[in-house]
Amino acid sequence: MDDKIIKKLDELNVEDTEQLLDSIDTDKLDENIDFKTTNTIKSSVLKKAGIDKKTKIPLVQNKLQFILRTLSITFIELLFFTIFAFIGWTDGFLSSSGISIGFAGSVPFILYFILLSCMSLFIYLCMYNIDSKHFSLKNFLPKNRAFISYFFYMYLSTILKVFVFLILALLIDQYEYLLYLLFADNYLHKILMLFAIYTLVFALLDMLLYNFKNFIVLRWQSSCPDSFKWQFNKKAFLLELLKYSFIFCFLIIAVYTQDFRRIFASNVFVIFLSGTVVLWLINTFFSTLVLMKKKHYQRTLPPRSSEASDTEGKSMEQEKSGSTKWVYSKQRALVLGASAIACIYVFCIAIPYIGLTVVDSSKPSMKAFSSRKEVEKFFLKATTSYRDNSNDFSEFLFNFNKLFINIANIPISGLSIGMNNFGMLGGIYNGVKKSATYNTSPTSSGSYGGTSETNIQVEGVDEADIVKTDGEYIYYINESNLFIVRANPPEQMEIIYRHDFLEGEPQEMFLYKDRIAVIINTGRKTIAKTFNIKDHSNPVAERNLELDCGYLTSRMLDNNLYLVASSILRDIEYPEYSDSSAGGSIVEMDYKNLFLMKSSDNRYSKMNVVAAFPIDDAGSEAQVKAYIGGNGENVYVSTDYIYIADTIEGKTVVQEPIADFFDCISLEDSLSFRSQSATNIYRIKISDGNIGEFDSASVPGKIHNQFSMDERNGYFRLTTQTGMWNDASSNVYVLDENMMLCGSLEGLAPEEHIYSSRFMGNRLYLVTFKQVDPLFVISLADPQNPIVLGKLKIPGYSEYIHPLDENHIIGFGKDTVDSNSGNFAWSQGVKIAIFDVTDVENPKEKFVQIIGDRGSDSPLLSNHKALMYMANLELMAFPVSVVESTSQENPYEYNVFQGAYVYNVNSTEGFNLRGKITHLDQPLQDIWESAQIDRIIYSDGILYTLSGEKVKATNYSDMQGVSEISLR
Amino acid sequence: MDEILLNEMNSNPEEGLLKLMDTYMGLVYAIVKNKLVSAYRKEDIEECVSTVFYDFYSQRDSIDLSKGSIKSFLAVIAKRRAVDLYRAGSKMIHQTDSIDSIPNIATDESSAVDTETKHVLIQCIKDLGVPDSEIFIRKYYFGQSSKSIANSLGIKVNTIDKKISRGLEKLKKALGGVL
Repeated sequence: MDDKIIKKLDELNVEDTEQLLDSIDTDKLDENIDFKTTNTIKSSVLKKAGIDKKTKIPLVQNKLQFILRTLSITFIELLFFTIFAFIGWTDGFLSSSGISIGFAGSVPFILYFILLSCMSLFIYLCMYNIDSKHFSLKNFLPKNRAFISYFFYMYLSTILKVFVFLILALLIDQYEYLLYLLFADNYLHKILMLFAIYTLVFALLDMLLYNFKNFIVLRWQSSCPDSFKWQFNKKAFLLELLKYSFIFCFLIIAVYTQDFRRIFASNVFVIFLSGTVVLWLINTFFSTLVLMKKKHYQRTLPPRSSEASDTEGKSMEQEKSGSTKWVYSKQRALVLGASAIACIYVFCIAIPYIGLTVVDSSKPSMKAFSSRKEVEKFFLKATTSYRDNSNDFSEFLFNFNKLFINIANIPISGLSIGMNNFGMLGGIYNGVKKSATYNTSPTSSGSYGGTSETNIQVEGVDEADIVKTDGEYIYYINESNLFIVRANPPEQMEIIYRHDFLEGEPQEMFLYKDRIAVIINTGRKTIAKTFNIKDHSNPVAERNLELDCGYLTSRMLDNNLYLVASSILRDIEYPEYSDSSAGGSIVEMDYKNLFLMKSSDNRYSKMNVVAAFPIDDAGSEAQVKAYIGGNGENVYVSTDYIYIADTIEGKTVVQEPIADFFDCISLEDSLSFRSQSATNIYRIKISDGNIGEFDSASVPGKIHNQFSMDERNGYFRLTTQTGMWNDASSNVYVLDENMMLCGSLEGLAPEEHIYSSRFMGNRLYLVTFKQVDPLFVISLADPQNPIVLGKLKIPGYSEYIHPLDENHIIGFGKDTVDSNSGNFAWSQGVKIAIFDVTDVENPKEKFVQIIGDRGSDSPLLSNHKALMYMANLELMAFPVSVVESTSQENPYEYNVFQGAYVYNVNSTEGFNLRGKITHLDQPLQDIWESAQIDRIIYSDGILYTLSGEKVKATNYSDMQGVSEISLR
Repeated sequence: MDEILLNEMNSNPEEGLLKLMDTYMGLVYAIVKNKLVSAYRKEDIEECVSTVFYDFYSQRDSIDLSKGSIKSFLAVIAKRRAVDLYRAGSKMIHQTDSIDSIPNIATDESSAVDTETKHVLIQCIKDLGVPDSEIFIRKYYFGQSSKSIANSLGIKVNTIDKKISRGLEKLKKALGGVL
């Protein structure tokens, strides 16, 4: 009976079976089959059906979804990198202030590395699951084990890649001759060959690494295949090849195209847009790559991987039902923890900078001492970081950061990426509101008469020099001697006074009516001595002012002499000086005359001393004030202010970090991000021999020399150069009378260094140079909005620009030829040129004269005072040493001339060499230093040339020597 | 539902096939295993199951859903494959997958009398009522042992046996001399 029933049921057809099975719930009958068996059967069936080879399934099933998801990843990435860049940017200020909080410190380095691996794993998981139906956060937050292994994977793979790159480079270097054998001298072929090698090697490496990644990382992540097998996927490999060929192509283009980096960088919007597009393309590409590999795995890895797409869902379900949210977070605790720490960290760095700068801008930049005791206390710990007040929350956080970094300063030098170069250009413009009255129109004292004067920068502000003359007498400092030479009549020149300064080296002097002031540098002290020269053969010493500092520079306005000296604080216990008019004994400086200049880094290592006294009144006491904190280098003095410029490598204070950050991005030359130098400008009011109010500002970049600065109508203008070499660019800043930035022009002339600049009225002539000399004509007519009017590119460069007339300037510099072996140029002879700027948009080089060949030089190129120019006579003279070469092979062979060239110059006829004057008697063999003419002066038809050897008078009209006297 | 699955097998064979297998693997496996478990190794059973699915896949165009559901079709194929294999006995040779050897599920080879008997039999089994009918189907269609039936239904083995013998009596009466 049983058998019969069974047999009958065995033979049931479809309809009957339908009826039979209909009556019961067949689901309950399902056999429980284990996972492996299911997969074996499935793959077997697929194999029989021939599906796994023949049928093509689209890689991306839902394209819209795919695009949207890739886009969202892109935005997350952008956000991440923006924050990263911001940290790096703030870090720039930090590291320069001596607090290594950021990328260079080892703990932050590890933290950043963790963050980076966290991010990239997240992105990778996103890519991996981009086609899945369950696009849930749980899939993308890596589990602890996956995270840890990925972190190490990333660390190792980075090292490996760098290592491989280096090995390759070494090998190629070693076997370069093989390349030569193969391609002889074909540069392009060699490049292509290298390109191919690198691409191939890196593509292979990535294939291996990818498999490795699956092996060590993704097995921990339930949504990814947990089997691992070495597989070679041709298509994926081709894609890898493609990827690396793109990367290396990009690198090659970036290296060989100079303007490449400027393509996108014009404003924030464009940058973000292009960033989004590029990132999105990259993400799409990588997603496709990852998906392809995933599909490959699913198909070729029997049996489990073929389940992947479904198990993903199932395991999700299991997780959902089997565990609570708590378990979820526990499994992903590391990632969540790391992110939390990162957030706190970012908060910690961000707050002090936002907070501190607010504090800073509301504080005056200078602080006076309240008692002598305080001064003593200050100098006691002078070089240590002295903070003038420290009681607010921001500063606490600042110090907390410092502490945090110092405690956790475990040195790891291995993979320290040079991220701290991110230090960026950002304005520090803190100034104090002050009611400043400005006296327009500088006093003009342009009556040259028949006597030449020292070539000065600002009309009415006399500069000290080694030679001064009043027409009758020549005052000349050579080595340690002061000579007074009676020059009139020129035929009977006579040394009527000679004084050897035993106390030190006389530097420069001033002449005012019947007084001269000589500034002597003794090494540790600056001494200013005034002499009454009513009787020229017997000058009477009047004042003797001694400062404890090294001499920097000096100026004279009318009869008031201003002396700027600077010193390292280390050498000082208490600032002292002595003034003969106040008894002559060494006195301590009154604490009321001491000021702390709030420099951005709060490291007080130097101080500037400014002294002022009337040159013709020995009885009135000199004013001496000391400004602690600055380290003056270049000084510009207008008729109302002394500006001391202090270059600092790096800076800390920003007023509006966020705004500045975006300003940085939008800079034309985005690489000026790297610049870390800034210039602090200390402005000290001067009037009638009184040293008055103080103010300060700071701008990015370095000052070239005193001609980089200028003041007009209350606006202080200056040019700075940010960065060096390939990062270099030039900027123009305009500060208003409160020393607040009111206009700027940044990112001029990328990759070029400033060689000279000259402000003339509302115009600025700026010369930058790398291979050719762009002469920029910049209009400052609108202080808020400086604009480039025109530029001219010619070979050579100017180191000094002298105004000829309203529309013509003379440039003094060197001629150059492009090097044929590199991206630079060889200096040739001394070049003088007249530029016509009548048409400001198209400046022209109107006349040019080149003196000598390579090796020729002139002191004028480094010291503007060496130029003698008399506008009324159209006369110009300067010392020069001329070298001529017979052949290119021996360019330094002949010293031809040493002496002075005298020109007649005007804007219509150009240069007309009137004559040459030399102090050498015999044919020139070598440069003879003591016979090198220092200065040329003119007085009533006679040119006087001065050297260490002699003073020589030459008749201007016929250029014949009149007489000479020896100084030996 | 079945229609969608069939369509998918045409448009996207891999996905469709995988879905089919996910849904009916348990059923097919149960049928094949219970028939073959006494005589064959696990690998052979798996092989047979995969053959069933492949048969279904290769004949997917001739499947007429008006006759029955995919479940029924699969069950029929599974039955026939398993029975064939069972009959081949220990001489079982890995069958070639040639089209000729695939049992045609669409056509009905049995005689009219036979058909009548089957209809009656099914009607009788249905008439046994719950849960007896299920026990019967499990026992005679799926070939489960009394013990496993008892386990899955939560009834004592004795009860199962009693119910089966009582059912058999009823069937005998109803079918008379047919069986």
